[in-house]
Amino acid sequence: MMTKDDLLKLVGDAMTKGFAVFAPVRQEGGLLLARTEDPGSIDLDHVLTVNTLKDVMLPRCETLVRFDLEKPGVTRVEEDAGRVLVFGSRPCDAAGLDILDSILIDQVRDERYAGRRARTVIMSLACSIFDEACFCASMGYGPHDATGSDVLVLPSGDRYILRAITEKGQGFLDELGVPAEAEAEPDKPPELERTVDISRIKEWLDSNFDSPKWKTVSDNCVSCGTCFYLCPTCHCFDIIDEAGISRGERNRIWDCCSFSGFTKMAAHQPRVGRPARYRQRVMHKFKYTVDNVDKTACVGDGRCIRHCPYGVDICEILNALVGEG
Amino acid sequence: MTSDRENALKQKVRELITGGDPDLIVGYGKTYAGDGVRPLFVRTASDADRLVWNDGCVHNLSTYLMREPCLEHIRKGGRVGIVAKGCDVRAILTLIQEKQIKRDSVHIIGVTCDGVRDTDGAEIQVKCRACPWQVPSVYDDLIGDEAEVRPIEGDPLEDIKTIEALPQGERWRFWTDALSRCIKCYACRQACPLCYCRECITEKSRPQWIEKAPSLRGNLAYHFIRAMHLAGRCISCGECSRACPVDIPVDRLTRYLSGTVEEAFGYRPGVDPDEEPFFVTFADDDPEDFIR
Repeated sequence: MMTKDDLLKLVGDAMTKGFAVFAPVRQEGGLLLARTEDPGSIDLDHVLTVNTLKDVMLPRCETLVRFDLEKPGVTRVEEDAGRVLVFGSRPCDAAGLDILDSILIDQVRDERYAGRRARTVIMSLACSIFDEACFCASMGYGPHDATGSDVLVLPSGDRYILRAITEKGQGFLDELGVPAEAEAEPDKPPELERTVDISRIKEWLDSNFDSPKWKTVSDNCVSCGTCFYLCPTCHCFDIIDEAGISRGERNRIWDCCSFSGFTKMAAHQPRVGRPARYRQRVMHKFKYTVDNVDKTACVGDGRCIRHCPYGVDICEILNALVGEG
Repeated sequence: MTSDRENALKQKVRELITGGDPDLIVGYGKTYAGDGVRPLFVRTASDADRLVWNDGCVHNLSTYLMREPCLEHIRKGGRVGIVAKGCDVRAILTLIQEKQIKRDSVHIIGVTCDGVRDTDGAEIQVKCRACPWQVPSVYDDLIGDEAEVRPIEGDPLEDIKTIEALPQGERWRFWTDALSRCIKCYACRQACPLCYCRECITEKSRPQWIEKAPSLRGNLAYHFIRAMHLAGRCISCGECSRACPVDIPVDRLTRYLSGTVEEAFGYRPGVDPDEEPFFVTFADDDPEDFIR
């Protein structure tokens, strides 16, 4: 059992041992999961950060190679191989990593992603609070779910229980000198208000690619990338060359199925119009990923609902798709 | 009274939709879970019963005019109804001025406004202060009583003046700090009723004019180009900043530039639908000779 101060001290110790620490920090742009060097800046009293663990594992922009006309050839940009600790992210975000692992490690090995995963310890903080957009339980997870975490921190009264979930997590606790102790009883996980039944959605999507429902179900969507960019599991990316007169770099950046240029090829755009692009989003999460890796690419963190400027609600849309009419 | 306006609005929209012209109306409804406000597409009389009107009706619904399903509807010769506050009407009039839609294609259901707020408990938006458009300037139907409108106090430019007052270096730091947060989700562009280019310069890849990467350099390029493109066009609805997930006050750039155009040329967008837009006209007696 640890107090909040003990926990923050542990994070400070990890910093001393050379871990680069990412944690929820209140900044100008809201509550963000960001690099911090001050354990005192960490905020533990919130529902969710605006951004997700994806920002750490699959950054929104990473330079892959650099090129220079004066020195023909390309230089691979290697990353800092130091160890990383993510502290205080939520179970839903960690569950998102479990899905990304299946896609970016098991299915096709993405070396950069796999490398970051291997040297990062995920220390999730189980939830005691939630809001009206949270629906992790409906997706098979829950406020105290351990999927994807290396260490799970569970609240117990005004103290915290540390539970090693993986060998890496146990190794981390050992290294930091956290003694093993008889486990106390954690608080009961809160019961979420929002539920959605996804049991029929896969079957419906399998046979309704051309359903007229797609036309109106996303009326409210204005095709921005907020839901994608704040989603813990969306992982489509674009590779772009950005060059000056003699030097340049090749970057990998996030891409998004809402955008009109998404999947546009030399002669053809297979997804014209917002309804077709919104369908891609639903299909990718609730059908294609299920077909490919046997997981639904949604963890019920609710950010797409919480942050949509125009009130698009994925639960409502899933209900409307499988419902009558 | 808010509820009076809501009832009058429901009744009017029901009447219009039952009459079949327009047969698609965009208004405000409740969020799926909870009492928040979001846009609502009305196609039937029972949809009309779900309309709301309160101070959470912050969205500028005219942004839907230039996208599906409204645009499709207009192209087929249909008319689209829009529930609009005075500020929103200015966006509709700008679209008309810029010949994107015809006045006849849109049925403006203007609503008198006492100011709006982003979320429950938030303050009335800065843009609403000293608003001269509490009664919309142009409408087909008006909901609410002009006589009951009470002025909203305050300085609508306060946030811009705060930045303007900073020394140059700090101003630069303010914007580089803010724009380095940008994740290039393009919510600002998509929310903007006047960012209607069919292909945005950010999407051009042959040649690629600006950096696509969400790096500070790429972000500055995107936001500065967008701001320049909205100079003398921005009608200060603030939707770009409201839509931003990382709270970048991008509207201060576009509002500032519209202020600059107004100061230099006495032009305000979206006031008179028959007026030529600022960028397509010049005066014979313009003091600058490069333009002649």
